[in-house]
Amino acid sequence: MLAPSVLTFLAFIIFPIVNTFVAAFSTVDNLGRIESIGSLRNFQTLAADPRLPGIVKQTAIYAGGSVFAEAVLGMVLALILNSDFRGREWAKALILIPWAMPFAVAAMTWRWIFHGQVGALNYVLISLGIIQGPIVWLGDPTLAFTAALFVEIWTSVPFMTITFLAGLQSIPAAIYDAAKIDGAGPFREFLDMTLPQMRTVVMIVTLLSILWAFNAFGIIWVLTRGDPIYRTDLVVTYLYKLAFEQSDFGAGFALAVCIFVVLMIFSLIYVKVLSVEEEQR
Amino acid sequence: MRTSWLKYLGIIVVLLPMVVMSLFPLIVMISTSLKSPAEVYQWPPVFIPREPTLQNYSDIWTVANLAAYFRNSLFVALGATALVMLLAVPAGYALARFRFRGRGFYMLFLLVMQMFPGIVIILALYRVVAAFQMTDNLVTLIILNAAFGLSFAVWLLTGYFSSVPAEVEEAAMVDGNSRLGAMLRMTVPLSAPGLVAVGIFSFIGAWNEFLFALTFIRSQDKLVLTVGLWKYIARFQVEWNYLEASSFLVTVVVVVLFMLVQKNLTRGLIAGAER
Repeated sequence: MLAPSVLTFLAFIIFPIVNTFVAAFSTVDNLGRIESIGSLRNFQTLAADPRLPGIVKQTAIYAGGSVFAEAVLGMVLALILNSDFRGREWAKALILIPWAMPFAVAAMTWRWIFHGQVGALNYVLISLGIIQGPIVWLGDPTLAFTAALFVEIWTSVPFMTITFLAGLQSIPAAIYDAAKIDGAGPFREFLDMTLPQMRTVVMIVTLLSILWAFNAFGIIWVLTRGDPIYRTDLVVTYLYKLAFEQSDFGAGFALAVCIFVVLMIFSLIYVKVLSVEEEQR
Repeated sequence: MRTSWLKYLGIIVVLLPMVVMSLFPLIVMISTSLKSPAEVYQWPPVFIPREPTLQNYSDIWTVANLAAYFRNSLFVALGATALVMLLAVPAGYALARFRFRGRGFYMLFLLVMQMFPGIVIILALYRVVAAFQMTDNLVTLIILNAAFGLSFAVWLLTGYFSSVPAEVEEAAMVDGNSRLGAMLRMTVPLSAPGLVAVGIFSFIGAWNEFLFALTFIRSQDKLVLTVGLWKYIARFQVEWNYLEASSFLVTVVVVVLFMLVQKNLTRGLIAGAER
């Protein structure tokens, strides 16, 4: 009964992974076909690429920055939503909207909001007197990168929030009663009671969103396409450009292998964290 | 209450702005979709159109190839959903009911696969698809979407099937049903809400997919919605009123489906689950 699913994974995921490795260590033509196996040339080409260090750095900032912002925002929102107030269910549903929207469509709308002349962002900021004239948000490297990071955070905060919320709701109420008797304030209560209970959830969610930063292809491709001058490219978009725009499949395969190895490391930590949690139950 | 001032501060300073932020693109989308072309590029822009019109919603069917995009997206998403169910139901059932060597490993594999980004193997897939001459074919998208949605589906279904007690099946088998009969008559119907949720997740996943559609589809009349609309904005002068009207229609479909299943969302990813 498992065979159909196993075969599907073997054919469409495992085989391409193996294939990627073989191709990375081979010489390939400009359509990605293997010419001869056993070569480090692709990795040498990649290492010599002057653009790569900048793009790796951008990816690290993108992953780190988005995870940090999402975790903080998600936690604060979860704490608020975990308390009782009128309109809570509505707030919860509305907070989820960014996650439900197809990200390609959301990114297109953000592109319109960031429009350099008549965009809604320019309008709002000018009306509030924060900026004097319209800003071409996606034309400036730093602003465009910040915009992309913002959209990434925007799409991922909902997941963080409801996961943290689920975590908060699984904390037994009894431990808070003890804290109340001790007269602990809300911040002490959070640091001493809530956070230790949430440790595993926080770790899992953080790891997951690092992995998701490697799924950011669609957001970047739609919003900036890596422009201006590769300053909003991430390794995942650059990999695509190497192969399909610069016809350098060899370097593309080599980069794919590097990304795969990084992903595997994070995945193994993730599995480790999960199995530790399992044992504690 | 001691913490109430903090709570209300949080609601006003954090929650309210976040809700507005969440809705902002949707508001801009709806607002733009109701504007005339002249009003779209007007400065200062307004959020509530002075002369709201539904013209865009009727124009988009002729201006862009929207009907074809919708048909293709629907075909791909439904196809992928059907394929996922076909593959995932037996797998989830086996993982829920039987203990065998390698089961734990397979569950871990499924867990890791859930966040595996397609981009890592896109070059290898490109070659495979080209070798089988399956480029520019919607069936390719169905297969790839199904393969990538499968791990989450199997994982969820394993949980749902596990929650149906084995005794229910055994009772049915005592009544003369085969194992397959017991599974189809008892366990599957009892897990119906789970099956629906998994189906909807698969549908949403395929409906929203961008990378494979971008890579493997070439002809205009085979484009799906995500890439079709994106190609539209890549053109010189964007008619945002048309684009946002189309975007709104695309979004409504998934937001409605999403709200139906959002309660199940954290289940697959967080739950260490019944292993």
